[in-house]
Amino acid sequence: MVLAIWVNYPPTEFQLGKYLNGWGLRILTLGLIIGGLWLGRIKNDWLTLTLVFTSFGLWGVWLGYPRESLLLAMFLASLGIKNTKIMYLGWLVLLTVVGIVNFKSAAIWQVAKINDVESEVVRRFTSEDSLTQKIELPFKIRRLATNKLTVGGGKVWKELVAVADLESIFFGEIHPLFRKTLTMFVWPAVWLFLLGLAVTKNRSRWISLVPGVIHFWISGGPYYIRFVWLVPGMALIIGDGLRALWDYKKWLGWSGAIILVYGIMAMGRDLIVRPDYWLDNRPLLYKEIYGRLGETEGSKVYVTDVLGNSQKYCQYYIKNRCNNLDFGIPKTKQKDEIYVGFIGEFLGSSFKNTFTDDWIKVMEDNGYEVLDFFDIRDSIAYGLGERVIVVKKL
Amino acid sequence: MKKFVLIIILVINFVIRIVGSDKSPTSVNWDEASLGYNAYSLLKTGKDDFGYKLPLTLRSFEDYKPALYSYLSIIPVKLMGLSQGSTRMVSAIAGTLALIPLWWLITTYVTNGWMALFLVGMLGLGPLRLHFSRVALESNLSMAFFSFGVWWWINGIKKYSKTTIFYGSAMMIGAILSYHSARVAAPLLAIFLIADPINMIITRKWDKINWKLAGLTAGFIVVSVLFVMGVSGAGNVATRLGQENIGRFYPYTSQEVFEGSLIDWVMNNPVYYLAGTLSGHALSFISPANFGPTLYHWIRNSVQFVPSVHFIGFIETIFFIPGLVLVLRRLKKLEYRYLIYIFMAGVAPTMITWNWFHTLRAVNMLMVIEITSVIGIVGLLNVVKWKKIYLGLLMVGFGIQSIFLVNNELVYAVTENYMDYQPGGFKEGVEKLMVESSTAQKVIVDTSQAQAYIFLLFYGKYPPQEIQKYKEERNWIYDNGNRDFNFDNFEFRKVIWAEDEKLKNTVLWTSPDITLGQVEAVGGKRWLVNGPLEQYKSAQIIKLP
Repeated sequence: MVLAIWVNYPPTEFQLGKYLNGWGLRILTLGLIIGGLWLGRIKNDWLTLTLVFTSFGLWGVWLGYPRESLLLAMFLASLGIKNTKIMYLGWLVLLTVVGIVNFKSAAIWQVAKINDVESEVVRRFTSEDSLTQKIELPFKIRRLATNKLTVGGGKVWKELVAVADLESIFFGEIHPLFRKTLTMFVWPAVWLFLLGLAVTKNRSRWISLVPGVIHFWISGGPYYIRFVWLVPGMALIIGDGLRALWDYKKWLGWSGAIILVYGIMAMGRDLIVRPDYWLDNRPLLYKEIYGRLGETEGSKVYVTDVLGNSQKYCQYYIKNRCNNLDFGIPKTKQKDEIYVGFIGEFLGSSFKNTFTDDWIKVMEDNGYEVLDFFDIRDSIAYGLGERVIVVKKL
Repeated sequence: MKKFVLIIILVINFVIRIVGSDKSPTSVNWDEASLGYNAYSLLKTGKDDFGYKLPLTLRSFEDYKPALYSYLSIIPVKLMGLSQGSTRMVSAIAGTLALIPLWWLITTYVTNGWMALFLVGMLGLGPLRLHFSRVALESNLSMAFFSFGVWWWINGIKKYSKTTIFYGSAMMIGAILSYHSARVAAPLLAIFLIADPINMIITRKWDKINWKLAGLTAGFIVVSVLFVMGVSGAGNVATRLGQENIGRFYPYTSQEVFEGSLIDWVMNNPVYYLAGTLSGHALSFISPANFGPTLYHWIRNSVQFVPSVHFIGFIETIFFIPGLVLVLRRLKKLEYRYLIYIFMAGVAPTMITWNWFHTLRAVNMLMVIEITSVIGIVGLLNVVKWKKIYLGLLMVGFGIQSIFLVNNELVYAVTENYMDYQPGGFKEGVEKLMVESSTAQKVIVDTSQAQAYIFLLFYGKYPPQEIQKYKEERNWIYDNGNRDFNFDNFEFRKVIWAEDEKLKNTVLWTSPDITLGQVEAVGGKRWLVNGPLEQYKSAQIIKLP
């Protein structure tokens, strides 16, 4: 909570409700998650509770995604159901809901599309046939090797195995691919997790991981949303690892705990220094745009809507002045009208997402006056550039 | 009977490793070309391509390759001539023989001998084993030596047999003389096996250690290794480590976070991130997402790349996870601790170098990952009720997987990686280039391929005694990633058609962009050079009158 206030990140599109939005919604979802932890009886295990609350992935879900937070809170609460059959039934219901709401965005359903698999099989055969010098394997062998079962199976396998990704779970801060995803636990926890796997005797630890794994497979969005149901189960195992260290030698346990705390502090500061690196940049984009629109009073203004519901953000930031605005950049521009959008929306999209250095001159040659511009990181509108410009048609 | 079946498995594996090695991978990469050409040079002159007599390391592209691979390749090069097949033969043999210690090790964890044979047969066709055996890779040779070394060391220590330990040590020296990684992995493994540190932790013997004796033992091992490295050129090893070490990532986190102020040192200390990077380098090899879904660009663009699945097979990956849990839970047993020791020794070279997940440098511990999967397979077999159905499914699954992987490696892989580590065109065009160059005053080679000269030497079977004369010209002062140098009448530079069309009696090797009309306009002739794909013309040879 302190970190969230410190970062004070603007609300996501999902947090712009009619009656409750921004911080109001965040406080409500925090209450729900705490309630879930309470009902899930994790309150009795202070170590696991601490680990869950210091998961940056869980923090990110709470900060920006109310629907996922609600589902998470319900999952956490379900862990407290004493009757295991009812608990499993609860998980089944929750996972069905997750599956339905993520039907379009979950990668697992995309790879299972039979048409795509068929075309991949054809592509592989065509590629092989186009080789000028090749090893001639009998056609029957090639058919056995390349068919819908093997190619489709391979694609599904990749999606299934993606859940066992230590890099995204523990090494987000130093991941060599610089994935835009919050780490679930800081890296020292990985050693405690492995130790926990070696020593944990409680079967329920393993069972609590199962819905987390299925949730990963059937949900979409950033990795930290997909991994978030794994947090309680993994926290329990990490906790077991830390306890084992404690039982072995007190000073070792303390050392482990201190390194964990240091890691949490380091990652927390990283978040404060560069929240836009870790979190969804679209809220920042609209905060910036609507913060600058005061300079354009009097003219008809069009604001880009390529990255979500611009109108909702408008209502949130400048309320009654929204009536003077239109959303989306029209193809034909009129004299004296003002347009706010990505540079690529005016100069045409660029495959490499880069634009000429003398873009101001190009815009002037095209009959625009450049009033303002700013940059937004991480290529959020890929192909349209990282520069947002405010221009007036002359 | 079982040994007979093992021999059949080895023969099948060997055949799959050598069949069509002149076609897939489509051409040699520059390291393969260098190993092959140096074997040719040693055969013809007793010197490497720089003219060093019987060297233990090859200067090559200033990467100081351990020379054993080239020495062993002298025999196939002598018998078959300098070719892709002869250059890759040692790797194919080593990759096949490496299945023997793998089988020995598997029998430690799988009591049913037939099951162990079946598994070794399937693991032999694993994507990385198969791929590395079809490419001339010193690391594959080193891995074979290392695997034998591991087995004999473990048995030697178990049985207190000096002879067996000696065999193991001889194999480890072979591994060290084959590839850089073993220079770190072998001594570290020796220390682990002697000290058994996990047992010390479990049994709390940590407090009772005779530190003097431990220090002396470790010191003896390190000195022995330094001696071996000294013989093979320790300074060269340091050069290689200097090129590849992890230090380039300092401060190991974003410079937006760490700018060097006092608060940065306190809150985001580089030591914390360095420790994280070292941990990540080691544990990336037990992160199954790296076995398929995550494809790092340094894997994709290198000889390590296998399309579709690039470490262990689909089935092994799934069983790896329960296998890992079982290994971790059975660490009280010595044979399971060995797996951890081999793993840690095997990944150590990747921890101190800069790449995150680098299969080439860590291939010595591949057997641990495979055996962990085997432990998962057997572990589940012990708990499932329908054992026959489970085994049947396993056999069908492995059967389909093996057919897929063989086709994937032998045929399909060429379509995915022919432009990266298999530069197209040289295999097809160098012979013609050499014929035309023999009567030309000058040959200009314009290619984006780094150190293209080695392909001319390799495919053109250029006389080694001639190239050795250029030792002095090959002092590359700066590293721009290209180590080409001009020799004989060959000149490596960009072709500028507007100027070069005026040259007389000159041969150009350049991109196919210059049209036939342009060539004919100046009275020249041209030959298009095919790449491995029908639609891919990789270069053209132009003869100017």
